Amino acid sequence: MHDFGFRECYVQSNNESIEGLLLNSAEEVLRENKTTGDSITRIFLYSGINSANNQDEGNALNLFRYPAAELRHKLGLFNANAIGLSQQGCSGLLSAIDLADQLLSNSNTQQESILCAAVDALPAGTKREIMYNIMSDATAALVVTKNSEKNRIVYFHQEFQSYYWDTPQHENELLASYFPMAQRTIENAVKGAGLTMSDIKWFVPHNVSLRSWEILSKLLHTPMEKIWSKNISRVGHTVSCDHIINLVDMDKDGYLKKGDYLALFTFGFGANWSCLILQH
Amino acid sequence: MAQQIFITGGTGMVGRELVSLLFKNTQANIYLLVHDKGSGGDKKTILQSFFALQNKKEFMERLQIIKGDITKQNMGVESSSDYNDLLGKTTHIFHCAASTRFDLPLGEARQINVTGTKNVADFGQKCSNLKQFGFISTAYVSGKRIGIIKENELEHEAGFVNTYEQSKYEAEVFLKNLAKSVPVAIYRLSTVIGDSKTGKVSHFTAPHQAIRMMYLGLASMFPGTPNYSVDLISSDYTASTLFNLFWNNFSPNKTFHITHGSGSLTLQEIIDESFKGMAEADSSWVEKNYPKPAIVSEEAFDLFMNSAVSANNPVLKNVLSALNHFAHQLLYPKNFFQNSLLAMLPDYKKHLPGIRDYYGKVIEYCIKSKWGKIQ
Ligand SMILES: NC(=O)c1ccc[n+]([C@@H]2O[C@H](COP(=O)([O-])OP(=O)(O)OC[C@H]3O[C@@H](n4cnc5c(N)ncnc54)[C@H](OP(=O)(O)O)[C@@H]3O)[C@@H](O)[C@H]2O)c1
Repeated sequence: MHDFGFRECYVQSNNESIEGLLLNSAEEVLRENKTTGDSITRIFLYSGINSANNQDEGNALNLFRYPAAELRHKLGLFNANAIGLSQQGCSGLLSAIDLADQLLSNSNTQQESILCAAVDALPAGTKREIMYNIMSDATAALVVTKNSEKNRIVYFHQEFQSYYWDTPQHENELLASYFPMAQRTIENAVKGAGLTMSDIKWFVPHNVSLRSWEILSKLLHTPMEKIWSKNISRVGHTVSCDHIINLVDMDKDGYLKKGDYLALFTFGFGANWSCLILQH
Repeated sequence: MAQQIFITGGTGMVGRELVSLLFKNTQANIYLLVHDKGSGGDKKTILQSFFALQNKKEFMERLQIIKGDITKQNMGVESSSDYNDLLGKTTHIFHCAASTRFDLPLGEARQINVTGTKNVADFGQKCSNLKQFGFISTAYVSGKRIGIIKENELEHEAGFVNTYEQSKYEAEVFLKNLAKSVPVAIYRLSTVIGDSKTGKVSHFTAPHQAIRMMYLGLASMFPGTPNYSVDLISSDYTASTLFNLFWNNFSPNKTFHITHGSGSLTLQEIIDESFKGMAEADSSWVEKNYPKPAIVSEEAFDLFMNSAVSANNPVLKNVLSALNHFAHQLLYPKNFFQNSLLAMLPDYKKHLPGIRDYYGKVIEYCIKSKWGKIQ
């Protein structure tokens, strides 16, 4: 997998809980955004992996241990309606952000925020190489607010191809359609945002193989230097957390300037191609 | 004395239509070299299945079948008395046999297209009554050249996209050097796509496979530019043009471009029209909502190709390597001049079936026949 740009991946250890990681991510984002718990009216917890986290283990009630509710409780976000979202593959967190944005823009309350989080952990023992990717376990969290000063949501565009819903049956068609659909989605998103490709300062990628970005950059007539691909080798791919992890690292390392337009693009099984345009 | 036409490749996509016209419009006797390894049969079967002719007494009498293989000495004709007999009788030779595969190793392509042509030409040189030698070539002997391609031009150093182009080029060079001893006319075709009236395709070649890939949702990208002009011609008009040039207007030492030229579909239009045709021919296909393949640079196509190879996905690798052997031609736009052709057949363009009028029928035929699986 070195040919595809991968070097390392993160696998949660036995003495770590993914719930604990999720809690850390959410706490950190609330702290950094100085968001008061009261203002969070909803929690969207996304997971793109189609396996019940909750094992029956002889007690049917185990099936009703909900991580979204756990998050609400442990963070003390008692004004929030907490719900789990799933089934959009790697696009789910971007869709959750779009959903949050739509809800907020229809609400009259100014001081209202939505916590979006994602948890991507493969069941223990699962092969880490999936469809030419190296998969890491990860969690991510962000807060969507009205009139945000930072990372303003400019436009979201998604192309859905539900004919491909049965992934194992359509693997080859999916691989073949990936690039034309990716090109179409990004071009439509940029156009929908009222921008041109050259206005985009950074493409914040999914970490699905460097090679795929090398090809896509050619289709988009965009230089590779504009695709922030540093985390592909270090982090690998996490179902839906890639963009948030990348965005945080880009910011930390000083790549982002106020006003920069960013295009966050990903593909999700189901199948859908999604692109979120932000202004930093 | 009746004319005696010796034909190779008469059971092929182009050859069968030409032979049918020779039966219907001439009184000549026809000596058909049928590939000993290939599809054949007795006279009756051949008349019916390849030339759509009833086994009328007249046709049965005019047809002689000779088993052979052009790659072999004496074209693999086993009986030397049969071979000698042909040497004495033959007045016309039409050499259509070839391998039209784009993916053969160069040695194999040369064996059929160059050595085979040499063997047929060697036979021609020895024929005591030979008046005409027709050879079918491809407009893509011009390989990676771009821009205007004239009929009287051949030698170049631009290189080739595949071994088919190269081997046909080498065959042409060989025949050109033979011009003093054999009266050769060369007919360069662009790409034969199907019948202009019915859409029927008798031999599914690389472009038909590319259409199939789109139908199966497996065509991700084509190299080239959207406005590249894809030159496609119909099998029926190609055959009647060949017949007119060879039978009614033979001129030795000349080369003719039998191409579509202006009014051709562009690469983007080919994709659009293919999608339109597929939707019309198969309503259930529409629901799949496959994206149209992207038209990309050579670099992007090669990167994609390499990823499929290193990812070891056998289906995509096969699809791409099928495309790989011809799709690169889409990067070398050409304009085939037709001065010699139009001087000989001034009404060629007037009667040329426009590809836009029958491309949909070809798509429908491909789908309905499942690319030749159902007759
Ligand atoms: N089709 C096109 O788009 C196109 C375009 C440009 C030029 N051309 C030229 O047009 C000519 C005819 O092409 P086509 O499309 O009709 O090809 P085709 O359908 O593949 O037919 C080829 C013919 O050659 C015969 N043949 C092959 N190897 C032979 C051998 N070793 N000995 C004897 N016969 C052999 C085949 O017989 P079996 O099938 O029995 O083996 C068949 O009859 C070729 O010279 C080709 O280069 C074709």
